[in-house]
Amino acid sequence: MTRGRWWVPALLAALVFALGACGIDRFQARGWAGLTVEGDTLYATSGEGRVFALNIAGDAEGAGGRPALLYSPFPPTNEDGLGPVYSSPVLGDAVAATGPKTIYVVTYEDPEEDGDVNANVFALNAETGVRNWSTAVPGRVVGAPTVVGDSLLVGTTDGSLHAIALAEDPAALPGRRWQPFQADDKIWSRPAESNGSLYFGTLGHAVYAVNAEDGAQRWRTPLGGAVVGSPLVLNGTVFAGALDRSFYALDAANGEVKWQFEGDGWFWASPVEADGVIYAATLQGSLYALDQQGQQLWSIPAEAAGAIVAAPVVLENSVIVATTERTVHQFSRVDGREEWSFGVGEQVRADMVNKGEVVYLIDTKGVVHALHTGLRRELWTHVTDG
Amino acid sequence: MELIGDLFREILMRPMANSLVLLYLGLFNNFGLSIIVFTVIIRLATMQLTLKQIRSTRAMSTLQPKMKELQARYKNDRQKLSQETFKLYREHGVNPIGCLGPLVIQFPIWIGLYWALIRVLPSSPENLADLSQLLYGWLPVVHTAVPVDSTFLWLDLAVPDTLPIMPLLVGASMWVQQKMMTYPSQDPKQAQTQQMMLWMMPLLFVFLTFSFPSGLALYWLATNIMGVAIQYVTTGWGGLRPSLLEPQAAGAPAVAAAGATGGSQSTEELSGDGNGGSERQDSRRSDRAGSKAARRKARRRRNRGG
Repeated sequence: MTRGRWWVPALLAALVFALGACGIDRFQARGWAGLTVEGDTLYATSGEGRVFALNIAGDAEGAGGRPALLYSPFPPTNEDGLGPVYSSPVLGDAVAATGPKTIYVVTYEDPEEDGDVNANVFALNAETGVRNWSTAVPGRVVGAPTVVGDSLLVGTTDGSLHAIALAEDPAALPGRRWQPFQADDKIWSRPAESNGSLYFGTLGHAVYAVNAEDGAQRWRTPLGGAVVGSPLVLNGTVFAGALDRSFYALDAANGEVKWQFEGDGWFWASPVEADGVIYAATLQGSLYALDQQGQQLWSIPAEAAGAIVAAPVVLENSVIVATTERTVHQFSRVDGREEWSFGVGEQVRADMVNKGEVVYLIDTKGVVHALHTGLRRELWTHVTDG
Repeated sequence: MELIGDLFREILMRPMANSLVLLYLGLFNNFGLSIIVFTVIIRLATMQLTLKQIRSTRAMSTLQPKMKELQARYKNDRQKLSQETFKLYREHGVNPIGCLGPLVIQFPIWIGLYWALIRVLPSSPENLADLSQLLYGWLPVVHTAVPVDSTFLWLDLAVPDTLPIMPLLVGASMWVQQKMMTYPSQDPKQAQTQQMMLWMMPLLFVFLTFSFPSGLALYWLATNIMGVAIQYVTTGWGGLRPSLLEPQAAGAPAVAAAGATGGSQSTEELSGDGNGGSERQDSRRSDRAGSKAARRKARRRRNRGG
């Protein structure tokens, strides 16, 4: 090495360090949370893990006033959030059927791996936002939980499906309904319940049917790709999209593949149904309308939108998709023609909800948007984080 | 800027990400093996550049004594010094930045691989969702592989190693590679800088390995081992030999190489060099031993017909 060439490794070191600074941020989980609507209340979980309840009365008329917070967020803004959240809050009836409802929130933090974290499942009083209880299940939770009777079903990245037994006293610590069911790989998919069975997919390229009563496996069907979204159960058929760019229809009784539809990208978002038509979206940006025999009724081309991570919302005459291209699109349910599109300024990955013609969504910056699809305008925004 | 980003993505990152996933499928769904084999392929593909860099650096180092003479002779005439230096380079057919060119060319490859690894290893739901845009639509088989299984030996390749094993392996292998690329220097100032660099890069990478996915650490380890192998074949043990075989010379100034990821320095000196104290003679003897070892190895290869 000649004199003065010491700067070469120094430059290398600086470059590597700069790369590192960018890289560290790249692989951190940030969360994209979600929304749930019940009556005149919109429950929102922000990406940093804070639960909000907003009063949305008057939105249907297009009043457009800023929504009032029904109570202080949980946890309060002067405390740390619950950590990254990838699913919508879920509402459950009080087991005693008399008390207030409960909001269940699951977080991505792993109590076994992340220091200072001692819970990843939280139950809050839906009327006050006060914590009823919190508990820890091993692993990280991506998919929303499912309430079936007096059980809360939670799938984890350890590949376990946990059945938490909800007590009659909503504030009482829950027990375990049955031994966790162990699947072959990570469970990101929210379990769908139908006729006493729970259906969910795994990243290990399979769909499972498990007895909701005791957690016994009913069947397991291997697929060509990982299943991220929640399956849709309709008329004895389980519909599930997979990352091998295929959309599958399985016999709910035995898991036999009835048909397979080839799309143009990963089927990540959970499929939705209305009037017997199934709507399935891909990360390539396509939305397919399929009948229950797997025939394509129409599709919107990929170039119309960015990646569709959030499940579509079906309204009376239209279907709404939100994309990572920071745009929300409204398509006709008749032929897929675009009726309206609206830029929301940030990526949308969380599942949307609607109340009548008003669609609510939360972007990756934690801003809740209320869009009136009839009036075709944004009613309000509400910043949850920051 | 966006165009550069797109070009970088299409020319480097996407082919690398798809190749890694294809290798994963071909190597029993083992992403650790996929990283190692891919690193070997990349190092072999860039072998010509590496050798060119080694040759260029070697030529530069062999001119050092003459450079020193020129510096002494024209210490009061900077213009004349640069003229004579340029003349010396021209006479010996040396391009003073020749050793940097190949390094600069290899940079984008390493950065592309770095990003491809980060994107292919699904460390969070965001990462996995974004991966779909990186895999080729016309190559259906790669979509059936995701998410790749990130377990390898005791490691989860998507997250940093919780044990300090990988950081230590990366740091040690980088130090060995750096040490092999060293040669003694008579300039105390330069020797001090070189000594600092010899430790700085390994320590930096130890630090990075603690905070980066261990898939990257595995790549660094594999590329360091390949670098050591290439260095050994071309120049022998180099600067490592005095420390290992001649402890009395271990205190002699050592040098960091032109970079952790590729730079190389020859340990050979000009045979006609008239400057030399006893320290220099010691190191020269050890360098010759290293060169002899390399020559013996080459002779054995020729005899075997390989």
